[in-house]
Amino acid sequence: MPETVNKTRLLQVTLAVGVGDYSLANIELAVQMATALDAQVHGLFVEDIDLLQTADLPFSVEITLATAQERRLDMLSIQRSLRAESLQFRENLAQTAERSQVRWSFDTVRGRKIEAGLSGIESTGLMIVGQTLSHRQTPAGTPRKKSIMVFDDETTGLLQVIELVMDLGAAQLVELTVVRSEESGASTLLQALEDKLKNTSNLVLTQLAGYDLESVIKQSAAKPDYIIVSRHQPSEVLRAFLEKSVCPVILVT
Amino acid sequence: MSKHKPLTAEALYHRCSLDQFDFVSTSELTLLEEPLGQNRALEAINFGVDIDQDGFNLFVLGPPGLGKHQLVEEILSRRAAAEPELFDWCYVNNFDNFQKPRVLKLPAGTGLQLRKDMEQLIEDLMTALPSSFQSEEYRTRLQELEDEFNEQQEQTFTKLYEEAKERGVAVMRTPAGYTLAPLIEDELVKPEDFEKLPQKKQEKIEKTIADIQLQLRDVIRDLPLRQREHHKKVKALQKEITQLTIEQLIGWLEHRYEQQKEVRDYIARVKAYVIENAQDFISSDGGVEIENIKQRVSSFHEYQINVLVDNSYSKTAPVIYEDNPTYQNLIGRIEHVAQMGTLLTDFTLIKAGALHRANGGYLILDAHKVLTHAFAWDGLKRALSSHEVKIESLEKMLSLVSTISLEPESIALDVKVVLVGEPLLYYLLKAYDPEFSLLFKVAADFSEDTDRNEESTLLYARMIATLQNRHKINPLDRAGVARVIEQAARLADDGEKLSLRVETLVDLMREAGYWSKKSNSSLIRAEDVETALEKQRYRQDKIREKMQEQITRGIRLIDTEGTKIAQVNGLSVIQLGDYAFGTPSRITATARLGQGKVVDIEREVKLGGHIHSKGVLILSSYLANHYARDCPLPLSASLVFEQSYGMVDGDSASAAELCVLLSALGDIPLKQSLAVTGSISQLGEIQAIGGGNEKIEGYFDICRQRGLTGEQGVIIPAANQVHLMLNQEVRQAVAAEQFCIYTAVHVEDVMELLSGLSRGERDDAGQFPEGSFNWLVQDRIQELQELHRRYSLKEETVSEDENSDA
Repeated sequence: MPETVNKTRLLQVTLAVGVGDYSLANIELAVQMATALDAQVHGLFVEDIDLLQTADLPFSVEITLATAQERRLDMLSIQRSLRAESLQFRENLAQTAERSQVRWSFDTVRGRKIEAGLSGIESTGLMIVGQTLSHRQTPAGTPRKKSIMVFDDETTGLLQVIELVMDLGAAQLVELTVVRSEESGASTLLQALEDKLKNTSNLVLTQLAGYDLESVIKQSAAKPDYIIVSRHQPSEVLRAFLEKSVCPVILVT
Repeated sequence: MSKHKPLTAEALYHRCSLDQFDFVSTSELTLLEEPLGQNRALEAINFGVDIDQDGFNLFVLGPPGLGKHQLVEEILSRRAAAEPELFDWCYVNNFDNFQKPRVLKLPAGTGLQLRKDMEQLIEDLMTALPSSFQSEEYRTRLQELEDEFNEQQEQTFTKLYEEAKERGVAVMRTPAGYTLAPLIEDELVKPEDFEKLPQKKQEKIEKTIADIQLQLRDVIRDLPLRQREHHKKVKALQKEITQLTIEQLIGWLEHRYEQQKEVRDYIARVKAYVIENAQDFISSDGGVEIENIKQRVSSFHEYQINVLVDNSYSKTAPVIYEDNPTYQNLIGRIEHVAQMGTLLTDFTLIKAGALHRANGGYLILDAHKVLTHAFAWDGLKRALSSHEVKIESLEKMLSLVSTISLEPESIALDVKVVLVGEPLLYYLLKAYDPEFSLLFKVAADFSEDTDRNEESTLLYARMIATLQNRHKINPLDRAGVARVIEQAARLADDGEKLSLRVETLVDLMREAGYWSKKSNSSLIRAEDVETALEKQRYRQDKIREKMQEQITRGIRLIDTEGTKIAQVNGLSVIQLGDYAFGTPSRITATARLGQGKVVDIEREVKLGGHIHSKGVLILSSYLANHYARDCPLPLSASLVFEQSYGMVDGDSASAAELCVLLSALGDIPLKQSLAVTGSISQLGEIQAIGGGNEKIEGYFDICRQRGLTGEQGVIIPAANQVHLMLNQEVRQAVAAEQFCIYTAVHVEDVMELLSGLSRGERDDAGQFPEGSFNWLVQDRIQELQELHRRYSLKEETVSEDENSDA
């Protein structure tokens, strides 16, 4: 079991995104969290090394989402595209942060997003690893229930972040799913949540057992909009979350 | 000349006897219910209003000041009270075509009710629809749809990923889409490693990747179709939710208007439109606070009701008088609002015209105003011909602007139009506008005057009482009434008629009322009326005074005593607005041997009108006929109005012109103390003229200023005697034999009066007795004939000599 830590002040919220993960909603979430925590927000754009290498293959083509047409992929064009995406991300982060009067910083690194997320977690208070699959559909302006999935390992910071995410989504119904390992004992987090949420009709609390993300999501009624997990989980567990998740994963210290 | 007796003072004024009145003041008199002397017009108006046939609109004609408007409004208002079926007219949105708003014809008072009901419906929808879309049921069903869609998508991609992975290919995201990369033992193959692979292996990988590319492309191609399907499903769900909500909210509205098919149809269209556009009611920024909702209701223009004509509080059919009948004020207009430099409009900006307001009733218009406003007359005719009001913006008709405009549905028109105007307009329209006769078939012709007799005088007194009562003027005593009646005769320019220009009379009574109050009298007396008349005259008298001053100072030459050959005083009337005054003019003539032509100098210099020229030609004809029937008239004469620098028209000076010409011919001195007015026929008869009273008074004023001698006077046509309504000063002077008025039936009467010579009768040889003025004229003409004969012989001899020389 990871050690239980006291409620601490988080100094930085990092948003790590890779190719195609860039979304305004993620930026908004990161900035709002930073505002609530009085922390700074840091943007991290990861230029996918695998993609760059693939572009160098002689037969590499790209099939665009907008037109379903093939076009030749080469190193130069992919570099340009990545730079453009990075710049756009930076610009949007800057605008959103400045509008909320939050300090911000930005970095572009070349590598793999999961590795970058996991390696950067030590130096940041809160890491959001952006995951957006473009084929997922959420009609704009449609009111729908937000679903949050929390993997409970008794890390104290979890409660703080859950409260934060729920506060940010207060206007909407929030469904909270708490996942616990089957062999765990009594959960102080669950107890705290039950006490806190008993008067809040908007919230639905569901308790699931197990740590395998795929099976857990299958059991869950709604697909999660956010996954909150402690960084103290073993790295292979975290890697599995990040690889299989289709929504932003918030890594909590 | 005892043969010609001047008129007595009594003959100069048709006095109104007080004996015929048995009241002390007008307050005792029964008021008139019908206007006096307008039976013909009244019958025409009643007929025009009663007849329910096409084109039987009215044209009420008559000069201004007869009370046409008042009477027409009174009659129409009485008639309107018996026609209580009224309607409201509304414009509503046409949900199929915003540019063509629809019309609703509703029972009176329903328009405003419908507007309120629609506002309530919108308010209800604004709270109910967001609630419906936040309901657990909707959220769950939406979630199901989204999950279904996402699951489908994920399954498709997952299947592709797995299949690709099985075949040694990884699917990777790029900034704009997807790419594929070869895998060997689940690891991506680097370019340098790929180069090292055997050719066959490379080809195999490339082929596999090409296969998967095709699959990937198909999946991506299907994405928009799937999204559209999903969107349809979401839309259908939203429609279902909206329909459920609106069915609950609109039921009472449908029930309230179930008897009115038009409204029922409109509500059905509203329902369908709300279902299609439910998203409008689910605003993310509007909130559901009451204040916010109230504000937002007004922004839902498309559901508003534009109550064009509201008859909520009307009990009778409308009687509308449009005093500014521009095209827009008649037909209605479409207003625009400027937004970001662009002019925008919608059906709520359609404004009613007078035709809309008068629909189902009566519309009174001034013909002159309608005709002088651009396109108003055409618009009115078009509406009456087609029996509908179609609002077309003028600027669009003229292609002045090219903004988006509307084509509102036409409104069925059932209106009786009453045009009020002067007779000239009526006859011009009759002559030159063929449509006029088809659309205005009833003419109500107002009389300017009525006969003056004992019966009508008593009715006139009651009319005075009615006007006094209606206009809240102090009552008049008997003498006051009599004086007003005498003034009415003067206004009619006829002692045996009474003017029906009620507005002039009302003004006189108002002014007399003012003076009576000044002298602390509760009744208007004859002296108050007299003061009012004097003051009216004084206020307008400046120009007359100036002209009179010029005569008395000898700047304008007018002799009022002695005799002169070839010079006579004619009389003319100057009309300045509604004030007229007479003034003398010196007329002179010359006569010499010539070719029988009388030159009218005024005409030669184009200062004479056609009627004046006609008078001169008539007197030439009289001269030739009377003195040279069987022989040539070798005369060349000219006539002129001395010191006249403006237009001269009318033939009222033709008698004076003939006399001055005879004087010039026969060297006959004419009395300058007498002035002459009257026109002549070819036979020398003196015919009636207008403005006799003003002419006599004008000449009298000059003579009085110079000193009355008893010789001075005016000769008028005998036919004008009945018209005399001369002022008190003239009458007093005549009574004191200081001034005289003669009447004449023939020009020889005038010559006898002017020359003091007798006319003389022709003997058997056709000669006039020596000493008569006719003898003098004839003698001179014979002299001229002899001269003419001698000159002709001389010319013939000269001509023969020239021929023999040749």
